[in-house]
Amino acid sequence: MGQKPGDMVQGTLEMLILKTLALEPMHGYGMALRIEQVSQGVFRVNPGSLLPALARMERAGHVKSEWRLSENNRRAKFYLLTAAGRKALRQEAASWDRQAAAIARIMEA
Amino acid sequence: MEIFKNISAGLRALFGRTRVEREMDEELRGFMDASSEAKQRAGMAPEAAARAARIEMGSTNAVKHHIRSTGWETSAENLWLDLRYSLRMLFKSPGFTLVAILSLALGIGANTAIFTLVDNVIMQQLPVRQPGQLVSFGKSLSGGVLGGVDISEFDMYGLDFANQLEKNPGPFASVFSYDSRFRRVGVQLGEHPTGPATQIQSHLVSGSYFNTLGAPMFLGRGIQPYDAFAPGRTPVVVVSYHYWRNSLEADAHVLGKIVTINGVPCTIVGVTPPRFYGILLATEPPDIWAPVTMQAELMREPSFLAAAGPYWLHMGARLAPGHTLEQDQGWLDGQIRAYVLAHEGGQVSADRRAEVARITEPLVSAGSGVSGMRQGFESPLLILMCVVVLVLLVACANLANFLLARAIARQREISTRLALGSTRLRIVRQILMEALLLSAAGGLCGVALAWVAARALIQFVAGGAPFTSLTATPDMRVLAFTFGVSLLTGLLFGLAPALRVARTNATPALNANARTAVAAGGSGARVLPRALVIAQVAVSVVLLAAAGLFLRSLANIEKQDFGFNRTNLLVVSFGE
Repeated sequence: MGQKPGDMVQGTLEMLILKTLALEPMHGYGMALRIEQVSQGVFRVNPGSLLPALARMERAGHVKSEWRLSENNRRAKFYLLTAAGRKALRQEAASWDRQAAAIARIMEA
Repeated sequence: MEIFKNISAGLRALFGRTRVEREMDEELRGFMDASSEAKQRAGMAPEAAARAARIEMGSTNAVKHHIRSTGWETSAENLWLDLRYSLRMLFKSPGFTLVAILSLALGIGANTAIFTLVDNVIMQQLPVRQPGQLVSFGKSLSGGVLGGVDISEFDMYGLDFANQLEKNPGPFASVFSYDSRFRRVGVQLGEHPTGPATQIQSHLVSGSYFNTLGAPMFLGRGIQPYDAFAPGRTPVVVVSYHYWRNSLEADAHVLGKIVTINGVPCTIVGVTPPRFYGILLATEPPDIWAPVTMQAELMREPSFLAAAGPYWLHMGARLAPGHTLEQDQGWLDGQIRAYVLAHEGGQVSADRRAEVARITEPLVSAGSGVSGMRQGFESPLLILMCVVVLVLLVACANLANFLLARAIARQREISTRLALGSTRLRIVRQILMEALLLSAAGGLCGVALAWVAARALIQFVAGGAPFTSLTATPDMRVLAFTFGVSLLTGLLFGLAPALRVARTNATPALNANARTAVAAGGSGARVLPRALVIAQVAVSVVLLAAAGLFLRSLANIEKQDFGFNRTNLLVVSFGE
């Protein structure tokens, strides 16, 4: 069961991409696959949202891109996390934790 | 750092468009291939897998468009494309564009011309050090020689009071005095001149005049305190830049040369900077300054310099830093009252003391000079300003109607663009751009027109004087004013059609039979054009009536019957 990718807020998608890239550099499809797998199908990102998000993050300096050979020896654009991206990931994660905790408190009350 | 990377990435994308396109295509294709392979491994047939991958992605063009619009360079590119489109649309109807630019040039030009005069007469500060600190004692508008009243009446003073204050300026940084009027003198070049003299304006000033004003001399020095210590001893003069250029041929070695003023040889010790006319401003500015102590010799009249002599000087001062007018007012009034009482002679009655205690000389800020011109022209100029603003509004209403009609005629084009997916914002922005282009062009032509008109107005105001301190050349303030007015004008008359577009429905105009310009907004949409026309006609009628009446009054004044024959009559004045 997959939610429509449009249901995910743009900020959340960028945070998920940063986290995915923190493990290792990946190309676009690899990221989409990883996010779908780790979220157990809850989040299915299509290229129409993923690639513009990556372009935005590249302009902001959080990721940088390189053309490399993929696992099946084809040329693909790989994205890597920059130092600024790592810092942004920490900030986004902290902010997300605060928000999640607040929502949990409200829902329990 | 990030900003530079962003800018350089954008520039690279702008100038390497094909490379960027190719990379995007390659990335998208790679994504689709990887996705279809994954589906095949999961068991789908190759064609079905490929199709499923393509459906998941959606339209490649849409994705590419989204990727592209993340960068700033797309907005810049859109702006540039809109600009070219607007220019093309304007050139397509040259008649309309020409008429629009012309009416805008007239409207904006008239405004700029009047503002040039307002700037010259009312707003401009003296070209001296910190003009905001300068004050004059009273409005100092009348000139001449006065006696038989208390000092400070009509803001007139005698030399002994002026010297007293100059030596001890109290809370002021310094005090100066100057002749209350300009004097015409005859000047010849050289020490033993032959030939006729030319008439120029001169001004007698005290020793601290130039130092207090603090304008940087172009050549040499100003009149100094040691030039004005004793009557008749120091025949030195300072000449104006204008006189130096025109009559002294911009001689670089002019200092020390002699000019003969009313028969008295005087040495030139300095040249004032261009556009400096002193603190007293009149339509015909002085070309030469001399010390007050040379009054009797240069003007060939009895001396005014005796201790109990007549009052013939105005005075001014420079405030000390941090002082205000109100603070130093009291000290000045005290000085004046003390002087009056000291010169009473004999017993002073209580009534007289009370009268003296009421004497006060208001300090007036003199940063833009002491100007009889301002007094005379302030109200007429402000009225004229309102009139030309009305004229500009009429032009704006006219153009708003024009553009509204054009927007209605382009209904189909706009609906098509909306249907193809353009944002309303982009279309509204493009219409505003057309309006701003028109007003910018009108503003440029207007500046040229304003220069011509301002020159004519200044000629009229100066009443035939050969040279005047008023100038038609626009300075920064005037240009900024023109720019601001052009911008506001463009926004004003671009607003109506732009708002109308923002409310257009995409569908009705696309119907096959909708070739005519349908007022899709109903009767409400017809109100605005009519209201604009009514407003234009009303304001125009008022302005025309007023103009007609003024012209008749002017003609009547010209033809006024004075009771005698005015043909072939001349007015001549000999000497002073």
